[in-house]
This record gives sequence, C-alpha cells and structure tokens, in this order.
Amino acid sequence: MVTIYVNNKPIICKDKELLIKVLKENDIFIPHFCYHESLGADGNCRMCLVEIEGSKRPQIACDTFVYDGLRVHTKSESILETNKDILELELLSHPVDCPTCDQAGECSLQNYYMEYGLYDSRVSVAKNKKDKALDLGSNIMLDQERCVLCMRCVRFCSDITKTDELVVMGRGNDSYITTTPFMRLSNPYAMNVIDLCPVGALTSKDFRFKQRVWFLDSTQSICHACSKNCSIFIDHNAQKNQNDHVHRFRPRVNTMVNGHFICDEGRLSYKKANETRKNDFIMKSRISTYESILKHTKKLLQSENAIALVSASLSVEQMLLVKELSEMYLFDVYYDYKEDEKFGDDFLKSSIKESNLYTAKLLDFKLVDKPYEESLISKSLILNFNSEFISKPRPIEMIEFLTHEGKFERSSSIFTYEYFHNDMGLLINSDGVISSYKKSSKVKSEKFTLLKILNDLLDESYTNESIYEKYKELFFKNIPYSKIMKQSQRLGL
Amino acid sequence: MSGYTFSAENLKEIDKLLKRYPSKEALTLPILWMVQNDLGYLSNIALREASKILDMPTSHFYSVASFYTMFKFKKSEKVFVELCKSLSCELNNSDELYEYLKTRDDIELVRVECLGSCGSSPMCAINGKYHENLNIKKLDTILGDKDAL
Ligand code: SF4
Ligand code: SF4
Ligand code: FES
Ligand code: FES
Repeated sequence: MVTIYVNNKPIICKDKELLIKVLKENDIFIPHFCYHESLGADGNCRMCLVEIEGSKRPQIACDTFVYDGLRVHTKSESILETNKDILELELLSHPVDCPTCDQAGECSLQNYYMEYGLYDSRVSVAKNKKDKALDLGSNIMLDQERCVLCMRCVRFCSDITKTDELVVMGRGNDSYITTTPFMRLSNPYAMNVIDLCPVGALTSKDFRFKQRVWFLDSTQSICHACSKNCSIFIDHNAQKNQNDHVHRFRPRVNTMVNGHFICDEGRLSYKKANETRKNDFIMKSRISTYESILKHTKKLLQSENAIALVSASLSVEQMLLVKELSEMYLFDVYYDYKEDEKFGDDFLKSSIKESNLYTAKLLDFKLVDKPYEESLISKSLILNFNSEFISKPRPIEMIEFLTHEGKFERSSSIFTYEYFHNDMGLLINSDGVISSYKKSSKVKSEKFTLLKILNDLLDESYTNESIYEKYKELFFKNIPYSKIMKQSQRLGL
Repeated sequence: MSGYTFSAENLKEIDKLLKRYPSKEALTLPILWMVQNDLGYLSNIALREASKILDMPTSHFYSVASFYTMFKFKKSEKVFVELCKSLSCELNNSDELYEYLKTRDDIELVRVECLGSCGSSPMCAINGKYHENLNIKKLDTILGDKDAL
C-alpha cells in the first residue's frame, strides 16, 4: 500500500495501481471517455488529463501508475482549463441534438459540459456531416455525429467478443465508426456496446425514443433467462393511471458473476415481465376468490394423494416453502429443466435455461423421469409451481401457481402470483454462487407473492429472511442472509 | 467469386518481413501494397486472405488502409491523381490546379500531404508517377495523352 495525494488529500491505495482507477474508486470526479473498467485504458480521448507535481505537462490518468508520494491535482485552475479545451475539441462537430437523444441524462459529454463548459461554440467552420441513423445490426443504431471516437465499442468487439464487427475508418476529423465492410454487428453480446458508449452515439432500437431516463426507477435484480444469474438493473416506471411497466434490463456490475455485461437474449427477456397473467384466482375454470381457492386447496391436500412439479427457476425461499409444504402433506416434489447446447457458451450464457436448478438439486427434489410418469397414475392431485414442463395425463385435480398464462387454463385451479421483477429472492447459479434480487419500493404490487400464498397454505408467516435462516446451516454453508443481501456469495459446487 | 492467392514471391517476402519485425502488425502496410499493386485496389477477398495469413482481423486492414489516402477499396478505370496540398505546393498555387482538376470527370482526385518534391512544386502524382513544376496547361497536356500515363 502507498499513499498518494489528490488535491492535497491523502489516499491510501495499492502500489502501481492505475491512477484513474484509484480516482474513480474514491469517488473523485475524473472526466473520461475511452477508459472503461472492463476494457482497460486506450489513451485516445485525452479527457482524463490531470496535473502531476513534478511533471511539466498534464498527464492522462488512465496511463499513470501510482507510486508512494504521488501528488495529483484534478481541480487546479490550469488543469480545469486544459480539461475544458479538450472538451471543446470533443464537441467541435457535435450536432447538439440532446433534446432528441436517448442518452440525455446519462451522457458523459453532457455531464462534462455542465461541469466545465456552458460556453458557446467558438467554431464557425461547418461541422462534419456524418450518418445520423446507421443500423448496425443486433438492434443497435449508430449516430456518427454524436460519437466521440473513444473506441470502446470497437474494443468490445475485438477484445471481449473477438468478433471484430466494428471498425474506425478514415483519419482525424473525418474518422467514423462503422461495421467492417461486408459484416453486420451480430454477436450474442452486441447490445453491451450501448451501455459502454459514453454518449448517445449507440442506442437501442428497442428502447429508443420510448422513455427519458430520469423518469425511470432502477431496481437491482437478476436475469432469470438462464442459470448464469447475471446481475441486472430493471428500469421501470408507472405512467399515470397505468400499471408499472418494465422498459429495459441493463447489466449491473458483479465481478463474481457477470462482470460488466449480459447477453442480448437475457437483456431482451424484460419483455416477459410485461406479459404476466392478470391478477386472477381461478377455481375449476371459473373466476373465484383467493380465500375460497385457498380453502379448496387445503382440503384437497388433506384428502388427496398429491404430487408436485416445481419450476427450477423458483427462488431459494420459494423452494424452501414448497419443501415445507411437501413435508407437511407428504408429497414428492419433482423438477424438470431444459438444456440448450446451442445457447451455452464459455463466456456468460449457460445451456441450462432454468435459473435455480442448483437449489432444486440441493433440496433433493427429484428429476422428472419414468417413475414420475408412472406414479402419476396413482395420484389424484397435481400441484404445479410455475413449471412449463407440466403435463396432465388424464382428468385429474390440478392446482397451479402461475406467473404467466398456463397450459391448462380451462381445467385447473390457479393462483396467480408475482413474477420476479416485482418480488425479491435468492438464486444460486450454475457455478454455485448465491445472489439476491430486490423488490422495488416504488411499485405497489397487487398480486400476492408465492411466499405469501405458501405461508397461507402452511399457516405460517415466514419472511424471505426467516425461511432462509432456518435452513442456512443445513444447505447454505451457514452464510448469513444479510451477507448475501450485500454481495453475492460463493457456496461452491 | 473465386479466392485470392498471394503469389509465391509475395509469400516469400511476407516470411522475410515476419522475421525482420518484432510484431506482425508491422506487415500491415507491406501486405496492403502487395494487394493494391496486384489488383489496383483492395478487394474484400484479398483482405480476408491477408487476415488469414497474418492471423489478424479483416477489420484491422480496413481501418489502417482507410487512414491513408493512397489505398483504394474499389476498382477504378479512371486515372488516379494525388495532388499535393502541403505548404510549398500551396505557395506555388496548387489551389489553382485543384480547382481545375475538380472539373475533370475522367480522373479520380485526392489531395495528399507533401510528397517530398517541394523543390519542384506544385506537383502531383498521376497513377503513381510524379509530375512537377505544374501549371494548368502542362497538366492538361499530360492528362490528354492517356497512353503515356
Ligand atoms: S460509438 Fe460510442 S463507444 Fe463507439 S467510439 Fe463512438 S462514442 Fe465511443
Ligand atoms: S447469460 Fe443468462 S443470466 Fe446472463 S443475461 Fe444472458 S440469459 Fe440472462
Ligand atoms: S480516459 Fe484517459 S485518455 Fe481517454
Ligand atoms: S509541399 Fe508539395 S511536394 Fe512537398
């Protein structure tokens, strides 16, 4: 460890660490376009210039390595002047179309301009005209005029996905980003360039012109589209007199799971959150009330010979309560899952499309197999906890707990419960990492959570925390709930 | 379209250069020249072949080639004129030549940095050959004699 001084304040950090990293980690404002934690330094934008005592000229913070006693200034008069000049150069050919730009509100250029600038353009020569709406492929639109040529998008395609679809062509003021001739942007992670782009040059066709970012609430959640469990933000809001609507999923940095990125399929799986079933309770194909179907279910559980199927995407807590219920009424719990070899890769995407298979196995639920099919013959009640693998061999009583439309809408009794985007819980991914997803405090949910329904069936009142804590020693290596709330934890395989 | 093959001679040259330089990036320009000298332009198929030989993405060759003014991505039957726009030529009225050349549609015109022939400015290169101490009349004569170019 060494001590450096930033604006005369001491900071203790690792020796030989990149200065810009230290500044960012210590929340010291340092403007930058090309440096990104996930891509490293490139040194092309010069926006991160700082003053270093003892060196004649300003130095870029993304290519300065700290040493003991290093004295840095980010706020001195001369460095502010330098930063302002660089920014002015960056903005030379900028179209200043922020009012119609989707990045407005989360644009570095805009932020820095507010920080340094508020000056009028001193340039009277014509601005460079470039392409304003270039469809690159993979849902991504490029506005070349807004681009600051930081190369983050190009480096993502060359260093991370190694697919090399993007290039910078031309020279100097005439340079522009485009796809490599005869290529389209097409890799399963392509949309990450939208988040990487510090300005509004790369935008999502899917999100463009739909929302102003300052009207969105962000909730920390987890993608449920495969067993990797990538950390995400759910950006949502409720328009006047309307239900809450999910507008996009964005990656949330989690070094233990997904780093800075998510895959495009997971990103676009937000649509499923807007397609949930309406809040209803159905008994024998008629609209009913929660109380009556609850009573009906309890009665059946007492009298009938039951079997249960769970989706391997239920949360840890949901599965634990299903387990409790199965022990109370002595029924077997099965699960099933899909494996999609084409989907899996060695970066993030996992071929197992269920998000909590690990827990289903951990709790000793049984995999659907021949004996399951055979045992169905002797059963008189099937409970389905949101599994899409459910089948109904013959007319038989069936109680379903569903988030989306079911296969047997006309012949089963249905509890509708809240989908994960409006709920909280824990998931364990295919690498044995346990993470938590949160519930937005802003959304008033009308639906019951599955936890509440299961509690009512059990006549219990477990919370997410208490049910987890009850079993943490047995199944979860005694990791405290509060620790998982703060950060993912490794259980191991 | 059929593929592109580097001649045996060029492949030998590539091997030689690979040994000479510490990194294979250094071969980018030589290999671009090989293709352009051979085809008169840089074809996608040839660049893909180059990318295979050097094990570098095609995008790299496009990016580098587009930085320079002398590489072409399209085949052109037109005479290729590179007119110097640097200081000595500028002082000796290269702008006048530029205005004139702009009006001719039988040529492909680019303005380039100093071609190192400042003592005999203004000048330009036509299909790679230097023509010096120019004026409009002289240029007109040179461009008129297509066979000599
Ligand atoms: S499009 Fe965005 S990420 Fe790509 S170079 Fe331009 S500003 Fe940077
Ligand atoms: S890799 Fe899996 S968990 Fe991650 S974003 Fe894609 S689908 Fe979602
Ligand atoms: S962030 Fe340092 S030069 Fe771009
Ligand atoms: S300035 Fe024209 S050749 Fe040097």
